[in-house]
Amino acid sequence: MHRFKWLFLHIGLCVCVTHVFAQNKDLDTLMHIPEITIVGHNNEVVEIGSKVEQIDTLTKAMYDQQMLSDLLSAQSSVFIKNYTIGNLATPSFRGFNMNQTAILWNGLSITSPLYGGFDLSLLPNALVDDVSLQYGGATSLWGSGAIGGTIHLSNRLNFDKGGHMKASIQHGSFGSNTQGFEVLASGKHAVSQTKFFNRNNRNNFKFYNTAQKGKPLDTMEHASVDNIGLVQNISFKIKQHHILNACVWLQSNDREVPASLTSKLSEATQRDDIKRFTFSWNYEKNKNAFTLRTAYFDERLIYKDPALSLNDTSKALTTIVQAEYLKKFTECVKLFLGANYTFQKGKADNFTFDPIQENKALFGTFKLKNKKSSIISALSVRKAFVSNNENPFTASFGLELWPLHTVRLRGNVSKNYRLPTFNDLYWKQGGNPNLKPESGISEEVGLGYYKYGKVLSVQTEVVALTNQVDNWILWVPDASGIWKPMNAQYVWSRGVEFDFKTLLVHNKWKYQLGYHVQNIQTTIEKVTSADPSTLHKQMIYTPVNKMFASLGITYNYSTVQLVYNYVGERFMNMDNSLSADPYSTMDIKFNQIIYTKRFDLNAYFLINNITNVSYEIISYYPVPMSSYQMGLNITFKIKNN
Amino acid sequence: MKITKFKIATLLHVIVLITTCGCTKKEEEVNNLPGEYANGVFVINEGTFGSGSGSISFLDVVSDTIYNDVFQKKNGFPLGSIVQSINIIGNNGYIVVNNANKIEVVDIKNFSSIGTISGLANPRYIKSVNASKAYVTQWGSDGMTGAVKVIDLNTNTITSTISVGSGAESMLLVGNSMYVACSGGYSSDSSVYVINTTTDVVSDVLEVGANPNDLVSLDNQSIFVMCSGRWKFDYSELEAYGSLVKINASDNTFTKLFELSDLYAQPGSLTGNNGYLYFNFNGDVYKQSAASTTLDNTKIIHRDFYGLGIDPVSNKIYGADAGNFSQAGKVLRYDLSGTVIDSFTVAVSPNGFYFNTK
Repeated sequence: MHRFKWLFLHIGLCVCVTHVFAQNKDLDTLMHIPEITIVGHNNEVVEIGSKVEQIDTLTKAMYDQQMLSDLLSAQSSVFIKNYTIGNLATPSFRGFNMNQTAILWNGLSITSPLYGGFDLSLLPNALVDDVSLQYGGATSLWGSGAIGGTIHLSNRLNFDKGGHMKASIQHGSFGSNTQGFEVLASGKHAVSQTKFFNRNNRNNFKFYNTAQKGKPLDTMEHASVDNIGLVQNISFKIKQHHILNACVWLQSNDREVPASLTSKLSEATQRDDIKRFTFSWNYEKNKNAFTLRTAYFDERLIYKDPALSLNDTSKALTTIVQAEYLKKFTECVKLFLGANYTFQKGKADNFTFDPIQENKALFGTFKLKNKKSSIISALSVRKAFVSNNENPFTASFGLELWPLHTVRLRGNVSKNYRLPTFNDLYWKQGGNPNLKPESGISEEVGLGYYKYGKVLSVQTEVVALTNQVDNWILWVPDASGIWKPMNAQYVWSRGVEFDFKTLLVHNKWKYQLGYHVQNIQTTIEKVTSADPSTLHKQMIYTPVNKMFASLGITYNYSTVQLVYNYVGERFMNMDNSLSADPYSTMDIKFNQIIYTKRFDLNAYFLINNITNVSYEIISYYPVPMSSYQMGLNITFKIKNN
Repeated sequence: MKITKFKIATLLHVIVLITTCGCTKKEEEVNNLPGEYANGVFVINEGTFGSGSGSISFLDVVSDTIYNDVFQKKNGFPLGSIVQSINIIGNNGYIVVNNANKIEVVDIKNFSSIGTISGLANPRYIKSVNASKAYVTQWGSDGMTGAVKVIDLNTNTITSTISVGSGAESMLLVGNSMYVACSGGYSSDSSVYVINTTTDVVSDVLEVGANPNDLVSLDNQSIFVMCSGRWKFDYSELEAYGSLVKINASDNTFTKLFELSDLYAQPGSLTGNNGYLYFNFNGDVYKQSAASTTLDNTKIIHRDFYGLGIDPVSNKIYGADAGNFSQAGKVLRYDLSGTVIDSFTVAVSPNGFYFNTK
């Protein structure tokens, strides 16, 4: 009978087609995947009461030769609005869009001050060490824009870990070739890490042209992408308690910008040049830790369209100075204080002058827990002083309760804001310098069950959430037909999320099963115009339903993983009269790891969209049907003497 | 009762199956098309840029029934990005799709696709010269190199190109002369070109005022030109007001009748009926006697329309309200005094009308 039970279980697992949802490090640890830590500045407090999803190292390694948009669209519950592969890809957390998402690198915002977003298709996974996602509002922690969610990227260095040299290659469909290397040298007093990434992708895939009569099979044109990037990260332990760190991120991206299938063939190209520099000094002794960070980001975008004789350059320069102090009164009582000064300058052909913004902020968090860690709470506040706008005050409170050893009840409430972007304020035709910041309240509660055993481990949680944003900035035409941004709407996002993850261990076999489903409505609840046709309607291109599931089976160090993604109907216009069909895709991934004393070898083969589904994420922007990537990572180990 | 690991795992998998099955596909809409396209009004819906939501609606004026998106429902593919205009020549309908650089040709009896005119660059309007020849205005790929393309209607191909001013827009045929308003496109212009339709050669260029858009003639002799005015480089205010100009087609002399003196509002959507002109300005529809030489300042409708038209048979005023340009717009009908009659929901960004009424 026991044998039949296992057989039934195997069949059930395969039918369910589920996903390894790498949300909790405990299960990954059971899988013998190296332990992960979130690296940001005040991580001690960030998670309290909030949902945090971390991409595990094995999954990330399989996507290292791809971009962040590829990783998150396949392996997270975030909806990625992707205008075909290699081109503009923006995140949608819980029904909000890129403007309501903060993206942080080592705890500092790298969101563009020009348009208030970030293109995830420009970020090679190989250039960062960790990726984690924080859901819900958190502007009291991270500043403007963290309303729907926050993407944390980090590069971390550890002293006295020896070193390695890692080389990576990947080849895939549509002329996609990637090369990368990484050199890490970690001594007692100094550590250096170099990462290099180069990718060329022709993107000349086949698709069914839905804009043509008879939907003929067509070939994608003018969609090639080239990315090259380098990160150099170095730390010195100058004294016992003093650490200096410097990090440089240089990247250049060239891409052809394809048009909608309903438009003429595009001739437009875009070049993005990125330079990011950070420098920090950290002092930590006894129960006190002090960190001073500085950053300088220089991002330039050159957009050319020969058909329109366009050659536009826009620049965004950001300088950040941030001081942080952490006081551990006891293991149960901690105080975190900080001050931030951010200077941003924009330059674009569509501005009549070079706008600047000075943003000063004071912030702090008080964290309290009992000795059993069964009650944990954190209160955070932030007061910003903005040179060309209002001075928002925000706060959040998070609470975790463990009434039983296996049951967690958590909740978080936060007041949030988003400052208008330079484009909103100063665009030559229509910019509105009188815009107010968006402001809102985010609330969520979660009830989870966590049970870890030698044979079966289970982790599951149901979350209920609500997130309201007033003064939502929307570009609308005025009586002269000129589009202008206005504080036009009141938007309400609410719904439920359900996650679970199980791990079954049977001799050398391991079965991971993961599942996520969400039903989140994000609707317009107040409009300024007399026309009520958009009232109570779903925001455009934000699916109410999203689900993914996966099944991973490992024997020793060989893994096969099936991933299933479902994205529900998306509306194309604000009154929801036009919609794009739901779609679902299934990917399969094979991974083989060989560990030796001198080197580790990781070979993988991914087949995306194995059922060869023809679909569009954004209407009339095609994405590939079946495609593959195969890659090899080899890491030569250097032992520390 | 002892709960075994097996039972826990089974329960979890059942939950997966139940919740997975909850994601069902929405039932598709049933196609709904009119029996014929006579006795009705075509509404041009631009759609949003790049979305493919541009479409044609048809209002059956006998049954007062609106049929939306008739092209895609009939043919199974979208018209394309930015549907600019429609005209009927002979038995065919010609739908100009601006950003897709094409004109879709349909059989006007049932709206089935019968061909595509390609090789255009930002086309705007099509106007027949005779049964076998038509002119198409276009802005050019850069939005500034205006031209008139000569089309052989028998083969639906371009036979020649006539260079005109920037932003070649609407046309009006008077005798053997085609008047072409050059609206500036992505730059600025002030000319109305006159083309001899026999020789396809420009015979005159009239510098009427800043950015002429619309041409209307009520008597086939006097041509009224609505100039929309011109913004300063930083769009802070208008540096040239909108104006109404009258051309005498017999000798191509012209007179500026009046300016519309507002620093931030541009006039548009000029149309005419029974001795009166109608146009949009600053959130109102103005009624203007064609005999007046000054602004009558008669506002008959307080609403901002993206397109205006007058049914020559019923004498009803049609207003196209595009709302915020990202949701379905509305068509409102009024009598000539400006009293609203009824309204219909059409599609995204309605910009104008073609009256196929008898």
